[in-house]
Amino acid sequence: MRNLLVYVGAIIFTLYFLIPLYILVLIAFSPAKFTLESLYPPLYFKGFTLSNLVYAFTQYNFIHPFLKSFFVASLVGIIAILLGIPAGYGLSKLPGKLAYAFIVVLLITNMVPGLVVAIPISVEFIKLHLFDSIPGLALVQELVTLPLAVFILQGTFSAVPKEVEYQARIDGASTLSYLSNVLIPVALPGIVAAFLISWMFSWDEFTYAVLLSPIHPTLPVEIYFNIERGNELAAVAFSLVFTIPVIVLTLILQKYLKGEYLAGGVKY
Amino acid sequence: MLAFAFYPSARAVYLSFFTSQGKFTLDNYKELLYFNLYGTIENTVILTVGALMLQLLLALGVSSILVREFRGKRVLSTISIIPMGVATVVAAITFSFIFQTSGGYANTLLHYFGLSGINWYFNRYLSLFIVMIADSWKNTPIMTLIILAGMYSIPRDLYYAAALDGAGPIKRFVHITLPNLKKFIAIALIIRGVSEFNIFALPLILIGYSPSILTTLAYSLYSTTTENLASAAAVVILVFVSVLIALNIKLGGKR
Amino acid sequence: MIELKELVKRYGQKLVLNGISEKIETGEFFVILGPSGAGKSTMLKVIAGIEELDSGSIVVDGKDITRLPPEKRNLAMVFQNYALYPNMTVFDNIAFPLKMKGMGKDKIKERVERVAKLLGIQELLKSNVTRISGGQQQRVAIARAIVREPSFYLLDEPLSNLDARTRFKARGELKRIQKELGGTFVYVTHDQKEAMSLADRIAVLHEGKFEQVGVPMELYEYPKTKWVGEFIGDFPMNFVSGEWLGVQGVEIGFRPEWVKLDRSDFKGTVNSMESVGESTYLFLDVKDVKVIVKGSGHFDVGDEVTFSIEKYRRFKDGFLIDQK
Repeated sequence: MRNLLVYVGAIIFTLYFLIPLYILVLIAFSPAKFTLESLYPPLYFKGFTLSNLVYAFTQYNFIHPFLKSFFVASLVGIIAILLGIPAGYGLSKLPGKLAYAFIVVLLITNMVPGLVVAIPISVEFIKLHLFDSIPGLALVQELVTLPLAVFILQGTFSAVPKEVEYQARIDGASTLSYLSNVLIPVALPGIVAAFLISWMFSWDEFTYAVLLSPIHPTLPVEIYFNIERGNELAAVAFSLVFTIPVIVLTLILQKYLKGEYLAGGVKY
Repeated sequence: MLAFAFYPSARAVYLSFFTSQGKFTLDNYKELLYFNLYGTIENTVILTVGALMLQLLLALGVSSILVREFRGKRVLSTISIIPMGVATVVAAITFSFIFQTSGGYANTLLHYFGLSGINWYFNRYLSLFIVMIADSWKNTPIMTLIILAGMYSIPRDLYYAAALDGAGPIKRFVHITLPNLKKFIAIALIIRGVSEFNIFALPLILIGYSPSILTTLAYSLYSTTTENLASAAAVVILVFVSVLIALNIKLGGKR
Repeated sequence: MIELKELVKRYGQKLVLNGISEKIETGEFFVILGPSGAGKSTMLKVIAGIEELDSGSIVVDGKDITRLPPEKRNLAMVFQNYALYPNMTVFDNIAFPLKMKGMGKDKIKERVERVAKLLGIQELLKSNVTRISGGQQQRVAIARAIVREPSFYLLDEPLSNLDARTRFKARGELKRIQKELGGTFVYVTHDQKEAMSLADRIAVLHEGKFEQVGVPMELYEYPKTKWVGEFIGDFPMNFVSGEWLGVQGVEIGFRPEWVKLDRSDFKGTVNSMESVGESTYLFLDVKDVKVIVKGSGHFDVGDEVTFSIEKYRRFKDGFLIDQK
């Protein structure tokens, strides 16, 4: 009886989580007359077609926004790692209280509203010729991802016993060769997680993208513009392609998506 | 890094007190009132509180299932984080299809039961409710992860002891689960609260500028009027968020 | 030879090392013994160069190494948790110090294999260090220390993470390896039994100072202070007023092993007892004083026991006044 309740709950939540995705797939692969053009669209596949997708990818500009999103996201991931590793290593060596203070400050940065930052920055970016550019957008998105990356890396590095570093020093390793021979290989899963989480964030990011790069938009912004212009089928098709890699990444990253990372450093 | 975040914030505050000609003024804030600032704040608060409550309820539901051992637990826990991988924009579009007044899937469902379709954007409360639903779908996973971490931290023995003392499942939930989760719930609410206050893409796509919330108002001012006016709206957001952040730090420091 | 000269180390207000001086001979197994928190690990870290000294100097074979970083001191250290590199195989762990020296591949292979053989871990070389047992990890850590032929070795409670049986075996092996290498071992432990069985000389660290330095038997027979007397030995030394034996103005210290039972000098009641092998240590109440004596055979709580003190040392103000 008790178990039955659990299963009923599990099934209800499974449906709840999956139905919106099902609808998206339904619209993408059904002829428009069964979806957008009917008053009460059926909840199941009445017909199957690829023409929506073909039409969307041939008639609308997909590749440029896609590439822009891809480059921005990759740049965001790379910067997050390059700056995050030294910062995380430094923080992991600071005494606990000091490190905690730093992390709090970092995470405040992470919480400052995007609009508040983006509006004044857009003015500066136009002056600096960073407006609408890949590095410009990547830099601003770093505001959100870098604190998170530093936080994750700091946690990973702190998990390596300090004796291992002492041992490496005694064995004749300099700080640099300790980092490259021991710490980075040991912390690789955390580093990969930091990269992918940064990448995913940027891929999904909308506020900065729409404010700071509206002329050559990223994919989410392009999808939004398509909706605004009434090209709904294109938006759906793009959404599908846009979503799949992220869902795959999320599932890969599942074990890193722990409450404490997302809770932003507040340990329980 | 810090300069990068705080300079623009300071700059926004600064801009909000000047005219576009560079003269000091309070007019920007006065002008905001013409754009229904109070109503907008009200909408924002309704949306934030409503979405948080909805997410919390859902997260408590999902977590209390996931904390048990049963066949298919891995499947559910995998499925339950999928919305996290769905971009906000995509979620927004999908929900706009579901809740379209003509040709929406929610109405199809009503139709099956012999009811007539509803205009889902009939009034501002209903519109905000649609945003809450879409937002909760997207963000329940994050809430769930935090709440679940909390549930795992409660020793099982407490439940056994309570069961031996004669407490049924509901009493156990009220007297053991909830009190022990208090801290986790508070943290989850504040952290999510900050993000909820900033939600932008979702309402923009689902309901546009009406009813407006603070972020969409700031954006529409940014694209139609001066930076100064938009900054003033941004500053209003900053004030609210700062309060939440301060709460967060205070709570974080207490642990 | 390692010369420690007036080592002083503070953590904030706390004086951890309070002017320690000692000479450790080449080839010596030197054990630093002390309760936890006495500063033993700090001592090793200071010698290794992981922590900086506030004052004092360390001279090894005539060369002052006080200001050198750890990688230039040519010493090896074995940590309590072994500090193996978790990303590397056993082979790579042992090879790491040689690699850092820039030694050629063939030479590294030869050296690693030789050391692995000495420790009986040839079969493990390709294994991942996280997948082997605690005892094996400990050997890998020692192998890594030995392979570079350092001028001396620092060992920070390397046996304390092993279970009792493995520890006993490892103890004997460690001693054998030390003798075979002729290496200078500076070994830290809180376990006085371990210290007694391993050490050529023991230094007892108490409140930031070496309270006594000597060969194990000397510490047992002639503890310099009451504190050392209580700390060394399976059971602490008994201390009673000198008047028990008709000596004025001193305290008398005697070990549980230094009494003979069934002699009518003193009488006590058994309060509790503890068996060690064939012997039984009896906790007695004698004239409101608690005394531990060694006996054999069967006793019960509440039994009356008589004994005499066969051997004793005299202490005044906490210090030994008898000479060897």
